Amino acid sequence: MTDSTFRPPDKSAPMEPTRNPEVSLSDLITVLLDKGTYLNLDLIISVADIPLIGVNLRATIAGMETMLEYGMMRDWDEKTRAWVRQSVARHFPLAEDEEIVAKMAGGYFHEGWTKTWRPGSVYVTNQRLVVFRREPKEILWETQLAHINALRLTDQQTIGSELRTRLLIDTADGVTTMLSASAPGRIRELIAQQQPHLKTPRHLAPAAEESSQLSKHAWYLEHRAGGTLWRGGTVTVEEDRLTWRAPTDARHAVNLAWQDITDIQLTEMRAPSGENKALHLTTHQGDIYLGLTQPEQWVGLVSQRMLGHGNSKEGSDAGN
Amino acid sequence: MRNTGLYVYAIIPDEGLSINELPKGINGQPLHLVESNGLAAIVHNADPEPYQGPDSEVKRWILQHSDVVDAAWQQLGTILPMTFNVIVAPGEDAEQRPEHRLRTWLSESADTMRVHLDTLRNHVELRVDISLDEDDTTADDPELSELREGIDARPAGVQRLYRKRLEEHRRSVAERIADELYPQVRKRLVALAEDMVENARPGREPGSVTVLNASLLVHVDAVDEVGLELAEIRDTQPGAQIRYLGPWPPYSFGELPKLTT
Amino acid sequence: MLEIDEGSLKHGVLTLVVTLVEVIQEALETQAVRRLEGGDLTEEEQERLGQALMELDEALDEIKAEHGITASVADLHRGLDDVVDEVIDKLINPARWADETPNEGHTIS
Repeated sequence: MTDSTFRPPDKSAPMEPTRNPEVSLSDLITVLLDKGTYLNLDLIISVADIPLIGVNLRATIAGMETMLEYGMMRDWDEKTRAWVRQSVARHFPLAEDEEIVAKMAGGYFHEGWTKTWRPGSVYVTNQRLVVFRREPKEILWETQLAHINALRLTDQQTIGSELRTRLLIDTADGVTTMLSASAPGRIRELIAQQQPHLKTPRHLAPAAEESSQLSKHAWYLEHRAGGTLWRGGTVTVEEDRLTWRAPTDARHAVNLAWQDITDIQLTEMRAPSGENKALHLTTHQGDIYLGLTQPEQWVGLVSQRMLGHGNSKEGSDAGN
Repeated sequence: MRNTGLYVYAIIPDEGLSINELPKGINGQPLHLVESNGLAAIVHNADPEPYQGPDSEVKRWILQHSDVVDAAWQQLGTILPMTFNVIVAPGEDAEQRPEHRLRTWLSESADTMRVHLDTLRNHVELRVDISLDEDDTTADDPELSELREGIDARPAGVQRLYRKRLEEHRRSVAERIADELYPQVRKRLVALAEDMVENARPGREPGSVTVLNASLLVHVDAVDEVGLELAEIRDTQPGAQIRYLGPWPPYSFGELPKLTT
Repeated sequence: MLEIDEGSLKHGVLTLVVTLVEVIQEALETQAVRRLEGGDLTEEEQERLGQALMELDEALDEIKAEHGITASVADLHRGLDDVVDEVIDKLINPARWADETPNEGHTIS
């Protein structure tokens, strides 16, 4: 086999971006059809009775989804709230005077003759907690907030051996229901705010964990030209490595074999996880910071794996 | 049909644009500005119906749209580009002429838009598509060499199966190399960018695997640094294939990240 | 009334059928390779399986060339691959798709 690899002569010269339409036309079309969406046609035209709520809404639509997930809607002005009410109400049935407080991906553990997760979106309103599926439209589960007796978080091992925090809800009818949600702690908080009398312990002890792979939501600190940014994603402990990935990324932004990690400790840092401490990993690829709940437990977990792969963790107190 | 709507190309600061130097709009439509509160929208009078037609025509319209946005952006250094087919229709109320609606909206959102325009000033969008040629990337893989060995000596039918098997292995080796490459590549590029949006689901090219396909929001002064990083990747990673497009107006960056220092 | 040009209908259906055969062939090939790696195929079986796949290659190439549908089959095949990738991505990465806003279409009120 001959070596056909192209070796460019100008090794140190920077690559120049091209505007040649023959090369870039299809990309340009994709961008102009899918992106550049400062305005969405249906917002400006179909929503005729909200005149031209446009750029500032659409421009921050991604941010708004996050804000909705975190229940920050009350901080918005009346017009923005009206728009959200309207756009959500197009597919989610709201009662009179009912307002969405938060919405996030989630599901409901249905225990009929079969036990199955039914996925949808979890809505917290000022009146109800609802698991709703848009297509086909169905309220999978709902309760009035007033009917909730207690609300707990618990860690559960999923079929894929991942560790997920679930919501356990005791309702007035004596039933306990399990829900999943992308930010269960936030739901607990938002409901507790509205129903201050509720019993809402922070967290139940996690189930004993002996699996070879587990994962949970974590924030990763990314360095950009303008500063740093916490990005949400999933950290996973695998047999031979530790990974972190954001849902919109093509691959894992952190992909470390245990041998690549030289040290792990807790460091004072406030991540969106709400904890005051973050994980600080010293690695062959530089320093990596991860924010997650129960960071102490994760330091233990990672140290253990590192030791298991012949890494001496400096300052480790492993006494074996 | 009467012209009752306004087709919007972009929002700009209302100063310093010589509209005569812009190209004509879609289908040669004359452009004008709708101004309010220090901002302006570049528009043409249009029927309140989206442009629809065969692919070749849509392509032509999109290019015309992008030419207008591009020319205005070159003049001003900042712009909020609209996607294709944004049309302001008249309101249900006969009083609500589209100009009026557009002006109201401009003045109501002026603060947010000015912040956006300031942040985007002197920033360009670059599109980077890094992939690995499966053959070149895996040329030195010992496992594959072993699989390759002796295939040619086998009977034709058996060869057919073994080649298929080789192909599958080669792809998985290339995927593994792409996995290893991605964290460094992303880290190096995003460190030069204000923001980065990965383009979801790029179509797959036979014979190559995608490492990273993303749009970067980069200050004009940092464009060369991005080019240097890419040249470095191209020169050090066997089989690296890089498409590097731009600079474009910041089409993909509607929302700017909240940065903390 | 719906008008369909007979020529383009034939072309479309033939393209679809040939593409589906290619997809099925890929599935067969993958299975054959699994068997091969599992070590439960004799040399003689390997040869027969490989020969059959080669005959299918030839037949498909001939049909495509004969009817001038090589390009349209390649397009459709790639389109199907993209759809499959998308479905798989939805399964693996539900978060990415969870809040996808539906396309309301370009209608005007």
